[in-house]
Amino acid sequence: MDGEEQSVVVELIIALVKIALVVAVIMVLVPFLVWGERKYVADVQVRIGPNRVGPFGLLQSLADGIKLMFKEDILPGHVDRVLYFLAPIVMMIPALCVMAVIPFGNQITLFGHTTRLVVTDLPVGILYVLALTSLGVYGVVLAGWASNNKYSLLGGLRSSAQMVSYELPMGLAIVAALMISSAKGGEMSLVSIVEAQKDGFWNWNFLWWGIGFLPFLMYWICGIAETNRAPFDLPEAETELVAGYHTEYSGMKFALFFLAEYANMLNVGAIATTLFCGGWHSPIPIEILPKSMGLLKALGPVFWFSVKVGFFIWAYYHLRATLPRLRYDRLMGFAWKGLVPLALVNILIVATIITLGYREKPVPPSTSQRPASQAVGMAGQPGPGGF
Amino acid sequence: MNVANLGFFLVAGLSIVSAGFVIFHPNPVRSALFLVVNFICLAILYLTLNAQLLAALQVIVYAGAIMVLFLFVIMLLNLGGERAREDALAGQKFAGGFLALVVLGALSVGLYQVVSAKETRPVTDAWRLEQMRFQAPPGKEGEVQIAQIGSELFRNYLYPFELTSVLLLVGLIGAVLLAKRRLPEQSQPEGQRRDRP
Amino acid sequence: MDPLNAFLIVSAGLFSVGVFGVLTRRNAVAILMSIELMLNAANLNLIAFARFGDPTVLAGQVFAIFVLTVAAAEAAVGLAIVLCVYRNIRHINVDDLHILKW
Repeated sequence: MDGEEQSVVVELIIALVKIALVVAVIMVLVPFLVWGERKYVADVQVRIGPNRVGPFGLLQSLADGIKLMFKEDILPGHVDRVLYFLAPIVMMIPALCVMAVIPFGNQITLFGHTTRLVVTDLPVGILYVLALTSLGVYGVVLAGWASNNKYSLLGGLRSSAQMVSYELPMGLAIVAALMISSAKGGEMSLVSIVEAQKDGFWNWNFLWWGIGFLPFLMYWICGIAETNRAPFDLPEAETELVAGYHTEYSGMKFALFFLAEYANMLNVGAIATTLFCGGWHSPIPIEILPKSMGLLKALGPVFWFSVKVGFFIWAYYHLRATLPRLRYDRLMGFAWKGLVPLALVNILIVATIITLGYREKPVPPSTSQRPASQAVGMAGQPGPGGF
Repeated sequence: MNVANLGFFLVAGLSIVSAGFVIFHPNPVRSALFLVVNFICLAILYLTLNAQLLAALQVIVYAGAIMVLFLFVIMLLNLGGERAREDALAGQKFAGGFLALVVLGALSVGLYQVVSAKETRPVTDAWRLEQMRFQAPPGKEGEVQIAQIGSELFRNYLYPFELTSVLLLVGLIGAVLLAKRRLPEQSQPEGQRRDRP
Repeated sequence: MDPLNAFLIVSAGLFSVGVFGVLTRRNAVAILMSIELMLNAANLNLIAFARFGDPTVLAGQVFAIFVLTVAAAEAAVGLAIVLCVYRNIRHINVDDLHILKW
């Protein structure tokens, strides 16, 4: 085995370890997120919430998970078998795959190998995220159709319309974020977007010229709608549709839907953090902190990333606890008549500010000239093996 | 046959097989799902062709939006399976098959003349193991290329680009008008309004 | 086999399948899906030519983007027509649509 091959093998092992780590963290985290949500909502509603299994009821979700695992695997007689089995899987896979491009920390060096805390940093990372989130809707639609049940079908119909409608303003909000980021020297890969927001919270994209807050808020609203969470949880509105698209599901298949929902929440939080809130950067640059605050200095990038994602998870809980569900026509009207025009206007404003001379870094030379060497090199090489 | 070719033939074969299922499956929902599989195969082929932007757009626009629209309509109209109706046009399948074969034949004849004239090269380099990179590719080819396509769109193709946006607007208005229910004044009074049977 | 030709053959196959679908299916939605297949076959050709042709010309990819947009508009309008037809005759079998009036 020569050096070249050896380094490929080492890279492969590192990548596998990172993938395993990310998946494991999600799987372990979800039961506690569910517990946290139940406790928080209970607190808001002046109840106690789960408190029997383990200290503070911490192990309640674990117990629920074990129960779901050992439950009888019921297959209703009237379902479309293949699609019924496929739906939870289709829901779960994109939710896990999105995590692959999210940078959750800076470079670290372990056993002499320096690696970034991101499974893979694609040059078209944000497009990859958009593509996968747009595939997530199939899980819901298929579940609704395969269940062969009017409540499920209505849930599936609602979610297909809702998710497509909210994808649009979400994409436009991301476009604005990318424009802001590129004005700071970022590119389309998520790592470069994070790195463009270094040196303190005043450089974070959501504070950019006072206008960055708009796409941030829009992304967040659309993210809630994309994950089918309250107040946009029409596809599973229990007061009208029993349980919506997962009415006919039980046991592990239901658990997969549940896992996917929480994984998607984590995704939306992580992407909002990455695009708008500086990713793994600490709010105040570590270098200018006074010596006495050694504890804050010691906390690593992973901590800051987790804190920010945790904030978004809390916001999910709080919105669910405090807001009533929207009516369906209001939901669609909000997306098409409210968010889409607003997002377009927002892009216009951001573009105007950038054009009128806001630049922190010199703009790369115009690509229309296309230096021959660069263009030929680009096309001569095969596509990047990632993706 | 090396790994590169094998990967290509797998994906290409899957895309054609799924296209066949789109055509032959009687259940429209399954047809639509096979079409999604076909689109994803094509997106993978685009990646091997160094067209990352198009691959992503293929998934976002086709699989994520257009096919969801198709599924929405199929589910809304509850087109579970095609009803068994007598064939209004006798021999339509035969004639259609024949014409499709004619198209395929014409295309293959044209292709054969080109193929027989060229020497061989591996199908594409992108499948080679050495190209696997788990870190950021050093050249950031995808990035450069997207910027190039963008500047191309907004410089050389600005006029068609703007025309396309007009086309989309027209399509939007047309779709709304067509799919809209009848206006209240044209139909029965409010409260008992319903579609014509 | 030349790489470009491999893609062209796949594209030809997809296009023929699409033609067959358009000619034989009677479900309007299935016909629209067959048209999408044909558009995609054309797109594959465009991108293959962009890759193996002159590397400094990205016209193939740009054109593929236009095809994508047109396909989106076509799907929206086509499905709206399907909905409209369904409202009037309660099915979407195109063989019964030969009168063009009600």
